[in-house]
Amino acid sequence: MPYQLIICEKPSAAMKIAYALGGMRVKKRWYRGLPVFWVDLEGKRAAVVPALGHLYGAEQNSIGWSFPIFDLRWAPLKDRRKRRWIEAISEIAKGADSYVCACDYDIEGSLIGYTILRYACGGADIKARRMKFSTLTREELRAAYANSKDRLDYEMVYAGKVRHEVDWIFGVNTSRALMDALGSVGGGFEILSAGRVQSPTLYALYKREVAINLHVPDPFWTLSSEVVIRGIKYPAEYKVKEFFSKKDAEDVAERCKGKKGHVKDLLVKKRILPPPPPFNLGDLQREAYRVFGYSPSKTQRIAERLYLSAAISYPRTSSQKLPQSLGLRRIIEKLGRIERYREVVSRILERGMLKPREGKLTDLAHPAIHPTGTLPSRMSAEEVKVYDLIVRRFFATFGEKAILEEREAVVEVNERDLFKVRVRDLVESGWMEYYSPYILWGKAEGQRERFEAADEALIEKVDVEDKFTSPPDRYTASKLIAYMERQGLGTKSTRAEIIDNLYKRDYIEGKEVRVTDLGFAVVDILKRFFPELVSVKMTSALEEEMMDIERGRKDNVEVVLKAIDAIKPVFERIITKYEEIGEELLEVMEQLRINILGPCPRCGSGSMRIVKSRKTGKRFIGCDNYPNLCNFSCPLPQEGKVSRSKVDCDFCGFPVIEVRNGWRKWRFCINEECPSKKKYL
Amino acid sequence: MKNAPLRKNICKICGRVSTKEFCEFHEEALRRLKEHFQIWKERKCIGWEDYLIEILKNERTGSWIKEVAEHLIRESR
Repeated sequence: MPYQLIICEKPSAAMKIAYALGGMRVKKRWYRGLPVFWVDLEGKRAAVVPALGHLYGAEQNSIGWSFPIFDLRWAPLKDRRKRRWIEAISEIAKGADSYVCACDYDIEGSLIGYTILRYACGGADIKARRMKFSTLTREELRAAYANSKDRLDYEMVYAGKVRHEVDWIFGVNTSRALMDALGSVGGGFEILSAGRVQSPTLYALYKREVAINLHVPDPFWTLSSEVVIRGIKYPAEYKVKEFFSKKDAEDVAERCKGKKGHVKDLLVKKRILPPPPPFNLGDLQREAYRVFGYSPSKTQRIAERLYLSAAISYPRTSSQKLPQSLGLRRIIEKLGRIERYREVVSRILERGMLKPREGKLTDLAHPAIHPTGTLPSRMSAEEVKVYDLIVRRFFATFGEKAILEEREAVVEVNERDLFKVRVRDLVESGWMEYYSPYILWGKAEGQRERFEAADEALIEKVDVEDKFTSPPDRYTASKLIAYMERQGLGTKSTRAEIIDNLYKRDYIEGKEVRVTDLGFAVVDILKRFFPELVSVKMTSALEEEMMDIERGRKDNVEVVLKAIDAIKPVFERIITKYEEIGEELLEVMEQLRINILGPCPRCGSGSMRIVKSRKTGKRFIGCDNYPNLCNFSCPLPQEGKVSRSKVDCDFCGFPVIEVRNGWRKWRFCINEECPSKKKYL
Repeated sequence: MKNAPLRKNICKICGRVSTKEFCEFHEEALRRLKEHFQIWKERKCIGWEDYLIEILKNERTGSWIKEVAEHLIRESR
C-alpha cells in the first residue's frame, strides 16, 4: 500500500516530527542504516525519514583538477554514510505516492529537502508539499502538517542553490589558483583557501592588524580629579580633557588642588531606556559572548540543540519580531510553571496587556528567537545558561521602560576653572528587573544624598596623569559578527562558521583576533592579484541579489551568470601571472615552514624543530643533530599552532611550548622528566 | 631605463622582498616614526634617540614600529 514520505533535516528533528504527528504509535525501523519512523496519519501510513544535513552538493561537471571551472552539477557528497542514506531513501521513495518536505524552514533546509526529493526521489520535488514551522513543539508541527503548502518554497531553494554555486565558483577556483601557482614553482602541495565571504572578512582583520602594528602612541596628559560635595566624594572631569603640554596640566593642578568652589550649574536629565528587542541570532551571539564569553559558533550550536529539544524557536533568524499569533500569553503561562520564573511571570501577567517591544529587523521565514514554554527533561550546564538568557530577554521585551536620572554639576573654582561631576541613578528599573542577572547595574537603594545648585565644593584631588594614544581595539568574534552584519557579509547562519574556518586554516588566532603570518601572506597575495575578492562591495552586492531571489524578485540563473561575468576577468588575469603569484607564495611558505623552536636544551648545538614521523605521520619536536649527536625528542599535540613561549619552565629551566588551537591556548614544558609533571606520572 | 625590472632587495628587518631598504610595512612604519617624532619633540622636548627608546618601551607601540625603532637604535650604535 502506498504511503507518504516525509523528509526531515536531521535524525533528532525526524523523531520529534514523527512523535508530534503520530502520537505514541510511532514505529522506529532501521533500513540499511537509515532510521525510519513509521506513523499513522488519519488512516494513511507515512515514513518520516531524516537526512544528515546536506546529502548533495555542487561539484564540477567534468573530471580532473583544472581551473577555472564554471560548469557545475549537483551530486551526492563523498561521505560514505551519506551515500548509503541516499540509497536507502531512494528505495523507500519507490513505495511512496506523496511527499512532504519537513526540513527547517530556511534556505539551507529548503535546499536539503529539494535536493533529496529531486535527485533521490526521482523528481518528486514538483509534487511535494512543504511544512512551515518555527518550533518543534507538538502543536506547531501538527498545525504545520495540516496547513502545509502545496508546493516547495522554490524561491528559498533557488537562493540556496545560487549561494552554493557562487561560493563554489569563487572559493574553489581561487583556492585552486593559489595552490596551482604554488605547485607550478615547485612549492609542493599546501592547502590554501580563499572564499567569497571569507576573504573580505580576513581582509577587514588584516586592515585592523596593520593599523595596530603601525600605531605610534603620542603623549598627552589628563587630570584625574575628585570633588567633595556635601561630604561625598565624586570623580570629576576638568573642562579640558586632554593637555598637549605637561606644564599646562601641572599649572591647572597646582592652582586648583585643595581649593573651594561651588556648584555653578546643575543639569538634571532623565534618560528613558526602552526594553530591548527579542533576540535574533546575531544579537544572541553578541550577548552570549558578553555575558558568558561563548564564541558565536558555540552559541549557535547550543541554540540549535535547544531548538531540536523544542525548548526554543528556530534560532537562525534575523527577525526581532514577536507576533501575537505565536500565542505569547500561553508561552508565558507555561514558563510560569518553572520555579525560577514564577515570580517574573506573575508580574508580567498582572500587567494585563501583553505587548512585547519589537525591533526593526524582520525575517521572511521565522519570528525572533523565543522560548516555547516546553522545558526539556535534560539540559547541559551550557544549555541552561543560554536558555535562561533567551527566556529572560523574552520577558524583558514585555517590561516597562527603565529610567535613569543623570545629574551633572559644574563646579567652579578660581572663577575660571570648571570641573564636571556626573552621577547616574537608576530610578525606575522597569524591564531590567526581568533581565537582572545580565544587567550591569541595579536600582539605587534608598535615596542618595544629592547635590544641588550653589552647594559648596572642595577640589580634593587633582593629579596629572601621563597618557598615550591607543591603537584600535582588536576584533573579538562577536565584534566581527557585528562587522559582517553591517557590511552584508555572509548570512546569519554562515557567519560563525566562516570565522571558525579562518581559525581552522590558521589565518587568525586568539580570542582577541590576531592575523597570523600565513593570514597576512594570503591577504597580501589576494590584495595584489585578486583585489575584487577582498572587496566588501562585490560580496555584499551579491548577497543583496541572493536576497532578491529569495524574495522572488530575481532569476537565479541570471544571478549566477552575472557572478561568473564578474569573476571571469579576475581568473583570466591570474592565468597570466601564475608564476609571479607562485614565487611570492613559495617565498612566504618557505619562511613559514621553517619550524625552528630555538636551541636544543640537551646538546646545545642543535636546534629544536617540529618534525613529522615518516612511519606514523605524527608530529613531534626533535633535535636537528639527530641521529649523530643528539636524540632529544618531545611529543606534541597533533593539532594547533606550536610556538616557543617567551618564558622557560620554573621547575627545570627547559623551554616551554605554547600550543594554540582555535580559541584554546595552553603551555607545557618539553622536558618529559620535569618535576612539574610528577603528579601525572 | 624605462622597462628595466626593479632590483629586488630583502627587507633588513623581516626578510620580505622589497624594492627599497625595507618592505612596504616597515617602510610605512619608518615614515610614521619620523612623522610622529615632531609631535613628541613638541610635547616632550625629546631628542631622536631618546624618542626611539621611549617608543620601544611603550606597550601601545605597534610591533612594526618597534621593529624599526630597534633596528635604528642598533644601527646607530
